[in-house]
Amino acid sequence: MLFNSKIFLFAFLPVTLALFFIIGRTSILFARLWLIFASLFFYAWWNPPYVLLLLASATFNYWVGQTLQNDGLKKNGSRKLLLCFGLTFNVILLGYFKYFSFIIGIVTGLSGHKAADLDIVLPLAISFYTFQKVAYLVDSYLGKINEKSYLNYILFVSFFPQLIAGPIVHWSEVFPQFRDSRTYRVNGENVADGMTIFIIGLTKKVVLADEFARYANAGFNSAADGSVLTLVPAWLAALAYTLQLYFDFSGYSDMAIGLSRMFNVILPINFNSPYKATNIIEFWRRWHMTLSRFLRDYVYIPLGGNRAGLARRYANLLLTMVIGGLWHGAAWTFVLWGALHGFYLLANYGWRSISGGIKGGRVGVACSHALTLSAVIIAWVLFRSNDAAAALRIYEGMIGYNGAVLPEQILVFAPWLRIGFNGASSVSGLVDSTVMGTVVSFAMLGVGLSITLVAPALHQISKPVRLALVVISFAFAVQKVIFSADISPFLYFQF
Amino acid sequence: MRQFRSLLFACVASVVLYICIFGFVLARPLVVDEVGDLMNYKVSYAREAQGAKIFIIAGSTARFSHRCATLEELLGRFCINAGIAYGIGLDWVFEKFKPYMKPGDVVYMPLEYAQYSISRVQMLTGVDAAYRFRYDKIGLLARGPEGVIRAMFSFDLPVLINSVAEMALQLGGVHRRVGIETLDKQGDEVGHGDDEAGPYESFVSALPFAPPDSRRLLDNPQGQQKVIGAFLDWCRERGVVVVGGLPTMFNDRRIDDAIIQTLEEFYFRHGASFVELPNRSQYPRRSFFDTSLHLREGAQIAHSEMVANALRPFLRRR
Repeated sequence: MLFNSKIFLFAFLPVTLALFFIIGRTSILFARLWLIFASLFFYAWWNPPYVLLLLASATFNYWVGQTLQNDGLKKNGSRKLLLCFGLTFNVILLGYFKYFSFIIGIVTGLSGHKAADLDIVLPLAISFYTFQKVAYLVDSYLGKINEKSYLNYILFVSFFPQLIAGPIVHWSEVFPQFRDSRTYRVNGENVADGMTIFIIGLTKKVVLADEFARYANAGFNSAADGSVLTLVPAWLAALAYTLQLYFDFSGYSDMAIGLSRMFNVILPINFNSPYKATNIIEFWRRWHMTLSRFLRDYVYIPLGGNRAGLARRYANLLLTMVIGGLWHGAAWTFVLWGALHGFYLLANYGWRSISGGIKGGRVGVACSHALTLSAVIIAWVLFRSNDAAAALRIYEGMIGYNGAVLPEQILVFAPWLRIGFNGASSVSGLVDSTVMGTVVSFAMLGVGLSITLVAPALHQISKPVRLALVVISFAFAVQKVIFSADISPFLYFQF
Repeated sequence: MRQFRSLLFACVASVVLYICIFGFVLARPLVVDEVGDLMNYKVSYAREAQGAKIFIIAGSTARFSHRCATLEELLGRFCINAGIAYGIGLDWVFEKFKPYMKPGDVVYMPLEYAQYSISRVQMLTGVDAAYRFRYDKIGLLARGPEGVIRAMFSFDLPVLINSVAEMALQLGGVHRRVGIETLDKQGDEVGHGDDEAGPYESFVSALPFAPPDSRRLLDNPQGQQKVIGAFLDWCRERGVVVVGGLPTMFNDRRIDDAIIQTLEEFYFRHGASFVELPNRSQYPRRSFFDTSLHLREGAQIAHSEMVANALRPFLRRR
């Protein structure tokens, strides 16, 4: 069930919210049970049998977590072994569903033998809930969790606002809130705030992200089909995807945060105007913040972090980013994307150590900003492309290798463009070759870039300004959700 | 409760603002407003023409590929080319021309193949819906509450940007390449000859050949197809002769017999006739102007002569 679907907005959400508070007036236990039931129903809407996988995995992790929290076991060395066992289970589970076909493909590619096609369906949200469970096990091992209730654990794992695509939360962030009896009573301010945040997130998704998807898909699908892309469609596709991904995922995160707020549960923010970053280190502190935090706490630091010399530190950093890339999907493009960001980070840290933090004034900041954004856009091309060859075709277009071509119609309308562009009757990768279509494409990019580069992040905006945003955006969101022909899933659902 | 009231107020204000902006302030002078101007122009000729008439009803294939002036000359009857553009709800077109249809008049309908499978929602949110919401709110009521609400919410962010851009371009003196000024008095598009087609030649040659699938031709029976059927029934009851026909298309491959049969059955079921030209309205790509539905002027006239011959048996005295 999608947050932007009618069934969710007009049936699931109101019923779940109303019954949660009605039941919560008499019994906190039953309110929790209701929320678990509703969350599992929400998950089952996609593929009912996979609820069993979610529950089995949760039950196993609960058992391991309980054992790790057990005082008796704390005294001997078998705890580490048990933690390794638990982590291995999660890695194998994720590995089977997400990476098995990929690995078989590599092996058969190397050996030259052809294997039968594997028909493994990736369970929705498995990457997210596996990471969350890994965090639970490690925190249990570190003695940060002391929770005996199976029910409470299942509620933590399945809580529907954050189940599918995060934010990736720690037990200590969420569960204390469920222990608070005030959580089960209607808090008008929280419900209204949550709805406001949800509406803004919904607008980001259905009004902005889905529109940018049209431009991005036109370019990237052409590249995937083997078409040659020229300068304008290549840049248009890369920029459109940069904006699509941000509005799609940050919109989803806002909706998750808003939904959770309606239930009186505060989730951590996941985005903080990432495209305003003036270096890559800062970018990763602003983009998918809960994933960055997870990778730092549960991958980079356990690998040794920066405690074992510069070379080891850089190797750890690179490995962490490759793992981060691979987490997004089982494909070489994700590995390359992670590695590229790893090298970006190495370069950034290297530059810092050489330059000693030189301040370049406004011009320096502007240059840093432009460089960072360009590096991020270049990396997103790998992230979005079906394969490395398609990415290469986009890169060729972006550097002007295939020339600069515009639809003839546009050159007839604006002859001065002939200085830099050749005309063609149709230009591969453009969603619309008409004059107005091109004007709208560029104007939409302008709108998107203005929002991402100038507007403050949602959590920095005051309540009156948020309401003003609702005034501007609500009707457009209604138009898309109720009157548009189709709704599209969130990009991060595929991860 | 105060927060709820504020949020509710913001939501209501948003919808009111949206309706005011798209219903009263913004316009699309180069794309949408033109639809109304063209319709009024064509209806005014139907109103002026006193005597037996022929109507050609379709989308832009009627306007570009058919020439009523030729039919008038060959058949000696008034002829109104009612074609404007594909995507304009046919219910609106029928509603506009019905008052001028009399027993014995002939309606030729070479509808674009996709017209038969347009869903009800698509029909209610076509470009005419935006026009009527902006300029003909009372007339829009004929479409019922669903039609009004769907027209009201047919505007998205790109439309907003388009509107601002078109209004700015209009202020700058920009006009569309075709419009009322390129129509003759019967409503035919004129002046789209070989020279004008030059810039589109390579584009047309690269267009895919996309014949309809006879199994999907009559999808969405509750959509526009139902409206077409009701119009045919209305004509039959009033003695207006309807003749179905084929839209123009590339002749890369001959249109399947199954398509002709499906269309014939549809028209016959509603008491109308159907004509199939010897070439099934298919022409070489070099005969086309800027799409597969728009013949160049020379081919337009030649095609209209064939249509005139095909329609001759259906003409009778009033």
